[in-house]
Amino acid sequence: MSNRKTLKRLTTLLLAATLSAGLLAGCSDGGSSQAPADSAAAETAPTEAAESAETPADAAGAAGGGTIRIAWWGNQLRNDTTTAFLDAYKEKNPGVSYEAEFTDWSGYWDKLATQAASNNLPDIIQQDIAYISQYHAKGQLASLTEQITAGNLAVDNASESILATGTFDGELYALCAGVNAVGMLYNKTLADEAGVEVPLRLTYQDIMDLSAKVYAATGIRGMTPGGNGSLTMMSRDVGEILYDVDNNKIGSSEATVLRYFQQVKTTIDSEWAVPVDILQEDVTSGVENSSISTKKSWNFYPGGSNQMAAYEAPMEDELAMCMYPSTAEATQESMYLRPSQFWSITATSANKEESARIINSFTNDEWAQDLLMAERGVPISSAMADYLEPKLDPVQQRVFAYIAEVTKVAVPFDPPQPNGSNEVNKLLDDLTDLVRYGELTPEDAAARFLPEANDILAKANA
Amino acid sequence: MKAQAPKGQPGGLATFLNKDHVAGYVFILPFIIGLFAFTLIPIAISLVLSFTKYDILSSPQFIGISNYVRMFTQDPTFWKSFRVTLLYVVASVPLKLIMALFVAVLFYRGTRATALYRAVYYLPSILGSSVAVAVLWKRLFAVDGVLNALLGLIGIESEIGWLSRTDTAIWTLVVLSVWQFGSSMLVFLGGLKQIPASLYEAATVDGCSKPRQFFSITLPMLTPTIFFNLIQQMINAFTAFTQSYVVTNGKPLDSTLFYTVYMYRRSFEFSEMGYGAAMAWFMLFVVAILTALIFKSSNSWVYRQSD
Repeated sequence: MSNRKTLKRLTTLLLAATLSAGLLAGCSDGGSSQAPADSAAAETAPTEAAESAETPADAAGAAGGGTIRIAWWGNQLRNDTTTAFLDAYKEKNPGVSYEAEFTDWSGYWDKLATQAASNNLPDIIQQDIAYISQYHAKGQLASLTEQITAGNLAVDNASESILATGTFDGELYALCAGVNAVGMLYNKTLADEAGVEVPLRLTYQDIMDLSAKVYAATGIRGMTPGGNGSLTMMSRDVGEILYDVDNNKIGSSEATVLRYFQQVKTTIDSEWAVPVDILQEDVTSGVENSSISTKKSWNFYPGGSNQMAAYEAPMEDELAMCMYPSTAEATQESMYLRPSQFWSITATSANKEESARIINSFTNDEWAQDLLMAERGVPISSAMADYLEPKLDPVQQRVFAYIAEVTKVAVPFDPPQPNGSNEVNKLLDDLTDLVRYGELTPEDAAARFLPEANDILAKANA
Repeated sequence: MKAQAPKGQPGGLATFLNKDHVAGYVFILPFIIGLFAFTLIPIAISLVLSFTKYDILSSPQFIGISNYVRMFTQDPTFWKSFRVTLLYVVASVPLKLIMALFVAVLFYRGTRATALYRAVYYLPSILGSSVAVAVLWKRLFAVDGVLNALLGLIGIESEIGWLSRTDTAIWTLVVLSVWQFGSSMLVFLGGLKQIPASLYEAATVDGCSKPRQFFSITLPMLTPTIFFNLIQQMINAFTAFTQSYVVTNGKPLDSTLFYTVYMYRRSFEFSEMGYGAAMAWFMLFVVAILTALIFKSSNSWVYRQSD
């Protein structure tokens, strides 16, 4: 009898112990429990970090540490280069460890929104021009200017216009991670095979003629325009801005919108066009299975210069870039340089100093450029761009050369897109699909777009 | 045996833990905590949120029943996604149950290989709604996919993207659902074993044909199992998400836009959590009504042993 009692007591004790241990583990901070080796360094970090920084380059060696969570979207190439950079940073800075969270573009923002709701955003997040104003307005981003003042981050070698895109009310909140230019990617090998010469500047009509020739010679089809990138450029052609942020409405005129839908219709109905069936598959296929990389089409636009390496990676052929086509009605220059993406530190980050030093290393350290190889675009620091240029592989040299050409003609880009732009972009995609499937005429689609889009913008910013 | 309080500390923690019913509660505590933290409390919060405008990044604002009004009167996509989901349920559930029953009857009395076959047919259910299967499905039905290649072999040249056509896309998702009949099949197998062999023996003696036996004995005796499978698969189908989200993302032209995917899009892509919560509650309401109706109707078609 006493045996049974002891056993029972033992069991309850064990149970209570297990339970409370489980509860304690649940309550403790996930970050600190995952890297026990770093905990000593992590404890000293917050107090010392602020004072210890002399110059940014030296600061990296000074006190710091802890686990930094960092999130980005991207392709396999970006995941590899960024992880290599972070591993090297970790090695050079004992006490620092990191947790990388990467997804592709479509899942990235859903994930961030969820994390924001639970106050669990990573320390460093990659940002996009379509989202920074929203995240800044909701107070989710920490000032980078403070970190520059504290000496954790240096932006001396970056141009004002590049910094301006991440600046709100005189404070920097998002630092450009690489300069990039929009344009048309095309398969150079295939174009040579077909015997066509693709000029650096061309019109929509030129592209249609080229596509017809390529199709006749090789049987490979050509891409058709569609989506917010196309409408943005067509609007800029005639001095309009797709999102009139000041007035919360669409800045593109009826004529421009109609021209866009007519272009969609004319191209998709052409014999050489990539059929709508494949266009649909492209939406969810990812870079590696995209039409251009699997040789279902000879070109792709709008594409970013920073994507060239990723698109070319699975291919045997060589890609090249020309500038974004202009419409016959164009009255002015539409080409621009754009930040491919930004780095931001979140307001909830417990370790803003170390986060800033990581971004600083990304921006200003030569060894970092060796690992990153300009995958996110040309470095914003002119010193780093000069350092990197001779080391580039052939693909990247083509990208740098292209950016140099665009720099000669580029005009400033549109302001960041307003709240509700996601839904407007979706509306534009839907209407574009309806036209492609022949369910709507370009005229009907154009007539629907402006009122519905303005309605969405008005509601989102009410 | 009388429960004794430990000496020295009457009424202490040890006494408390030693009581029989306390041990019981301690054992179910992990489940209770999970139930509250991850199910009941979030459900309650979502009901509150459905009356608010909540963009995740800033705190919710109370706006009364506006979300519901907008849902029913100003949002054609809402009704579109509802119709798509309804079509999916009506098409996939019966097909899946028929398939499951057919295979179950086939394997009920079997050879030695039967166990292997059962496992093989059950596999898709385990892979079920995984993303990997969804990606596989995308490749099967792509323009340069397996289906078109097979058609090419028998001389039909096809450039159809089965997932890119409004009239075929939803059916590929229905096929995907039917293919996952394994778990229903197992339940049917269990049901078949419950049917007394004496009934079949009697029928055989009376000269009853096999098909007649199936319709007069097997099917009526199986109605409780059918009932269970019907309810379960209907709820599954209404809440299906991965198939639509990964395979087609609602495309083309919203023809495969499941209710849950649209709810997700509103909530996370357009940052309208309140609206998403309202949609969730409407779905709960619809599923509850349908389940109640099926339960009610069961009196007239489900066989009960005690009757």
